[in-house]
Amino acid sequence: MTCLQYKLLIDDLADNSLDPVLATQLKEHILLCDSCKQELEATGHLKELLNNSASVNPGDLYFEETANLIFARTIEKNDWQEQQKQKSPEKIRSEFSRALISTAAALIIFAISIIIGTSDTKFAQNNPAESPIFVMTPLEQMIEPDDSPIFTKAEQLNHIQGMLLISPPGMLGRLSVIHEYNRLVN
Amino acid sequence: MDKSVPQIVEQFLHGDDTAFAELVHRYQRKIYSVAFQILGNHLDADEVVQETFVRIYNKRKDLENVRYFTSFILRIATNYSIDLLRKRKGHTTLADDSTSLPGHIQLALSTKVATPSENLKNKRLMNEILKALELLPTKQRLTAILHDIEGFTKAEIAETFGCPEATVRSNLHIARTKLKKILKQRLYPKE
Repeated sequence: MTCLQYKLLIDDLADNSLDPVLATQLKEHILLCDSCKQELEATGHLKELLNNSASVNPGDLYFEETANLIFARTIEKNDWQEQQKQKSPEKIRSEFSRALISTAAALIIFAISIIIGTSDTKFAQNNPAESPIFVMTPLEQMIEPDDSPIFTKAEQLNHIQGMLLISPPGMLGRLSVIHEYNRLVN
Repeated sequence: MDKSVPQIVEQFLHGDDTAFAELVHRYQRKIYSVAFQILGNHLDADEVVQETFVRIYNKRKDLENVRYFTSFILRIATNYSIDLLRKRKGHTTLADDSTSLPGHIQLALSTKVATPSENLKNKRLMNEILKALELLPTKQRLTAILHDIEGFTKAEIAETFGCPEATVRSNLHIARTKLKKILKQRLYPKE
């Protein structure tokens, strides 16, 4: 075997992973060859340097915290999802009842607001003292009597119709003026 | 008695979360160390550790076809590290000092050595080694890190990269030859 071929085996010898027969041959060669001896020493030195550099240890506290973070992203997340999947029928019924009650309450409030909204004019006429709360400015006073330089009377009525649908006071009072609007348009 | 890794993996495959916790405790230090050696900073290494285990948990079915768990987890960690390395290309990856680390981690690093001069010497040496490793092509660099720094066997590395053991031996030989040359120039410039 040539010196170059022996050199290729030096890594394995340094790693203790060389075939015993080859290892004996190489060791005998190294006794006679300075170049291979230096190569083996340099490889050993490098291995030692690299092995000693494996000292990155951020500490137990870091690993404890990291493990907890990993569990939060895996096991605990999975547990929560399982809990969501495995809801008992009682819990489902209870949630359904609550949703039903909420919807019914919203509908009742909606109906009351319509009733109050449609009766506000009459209410204001019968209760002058309360009028500032419910009485709205008549539509005739809100629009210019004739076509203005900017908007025609018809355009102004269209704007008011839009405002009635989207602007405050919302449902309260809105419906009561629709008939008045229709009267003006017609 | 401590359970073997295949036994723990089997339990994990059957949905035992305590087995997963055991795997985290057994492997997180190794994965952190490998990632730190590849990426050169704490924050990226931390990301690799977390992502590796989250991926394993989410893809536990893939473990059914895995022969060696160590190689499997190592492959996930090294692949993720390489992805991060590509993303960070152009940015500095080496942590020259530990001042950017959270408080308790700085403390852990600084109490590892007895004296400030030893600390400084160790830091300098480690930086030189990390810089020398950075000059190597990815496969050679990873082979040197996994074999000579982290102590994995050639068979485990071959399994991790899905290549023959002879390729690992060859990569290791080339990496060592280059490292010897680079470190000789850096550590002993006058010789």
